[in-house]
Amino acid sequence: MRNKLPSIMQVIGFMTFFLPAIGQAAGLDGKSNLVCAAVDVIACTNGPGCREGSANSFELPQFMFVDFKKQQIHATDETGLDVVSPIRNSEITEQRIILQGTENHRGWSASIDKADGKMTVTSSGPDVSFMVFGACTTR
Amino acid sequence: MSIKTNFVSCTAATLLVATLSVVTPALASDAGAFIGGVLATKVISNMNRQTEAQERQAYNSSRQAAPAPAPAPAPAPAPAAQTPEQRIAQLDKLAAGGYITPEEYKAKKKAIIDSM
Repeated sequence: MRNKLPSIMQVIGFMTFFLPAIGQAAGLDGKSNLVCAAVDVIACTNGPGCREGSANSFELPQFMFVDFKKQQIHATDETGLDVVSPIRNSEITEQRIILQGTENHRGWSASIDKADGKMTVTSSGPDVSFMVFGACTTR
Repeated sequence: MSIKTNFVSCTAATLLVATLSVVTPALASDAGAFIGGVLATKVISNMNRQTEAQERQAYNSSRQAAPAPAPAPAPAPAPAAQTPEQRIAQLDKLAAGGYITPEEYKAKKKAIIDSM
């Protein structure tokens, strides 16, 4: 038991000092701009049900960019047009970066895990609500 | 060794920044909506497309699985064959009504009698 105590203390020490450092190393601090890749999509309607597929099968833009300074998320559509979503509200917690906005009678919310960069974007509207799963890293 | 490592890191960082600056679009002033615009439109249109494709597939499979169309209804049965007396009586009516000439009446009557 006495022998185990130092090792437990070492683990706690590691978690205390190094895990936050991993998050910091990734730069997901809510200040550095991010580039995010969409991977999977699940979309549901009020009636028939849900559809899911890859972001590619839904023909979504490959990358989206979070610009904290300009408070916006932007991307380029297939025609080369720049499209932008202003961030109306943002909250940086210990674990996550939460971003919210409204557009065209739809509300959206993005949640980004500060530790591993996993991203979920949800958007709800009168006809269809959808979720986009992906990952972000610093630019 | 340390200098070399730093040089490699700096080069990689420079390349990454250069790549991202190419990938990152410059924001236009007349930018359209992204999440509530392009993203929502893409998702909804692809959902509609998938629904249509599924409905089309279901329709095609139901047509393939459906049994062969029922055969056309059988034609109405022919009226029961008339007896020579009935045929001659009908022939008489036609002659009395002036529908056939006396020559035709005679020829038909002869045919009926011959068929007996």
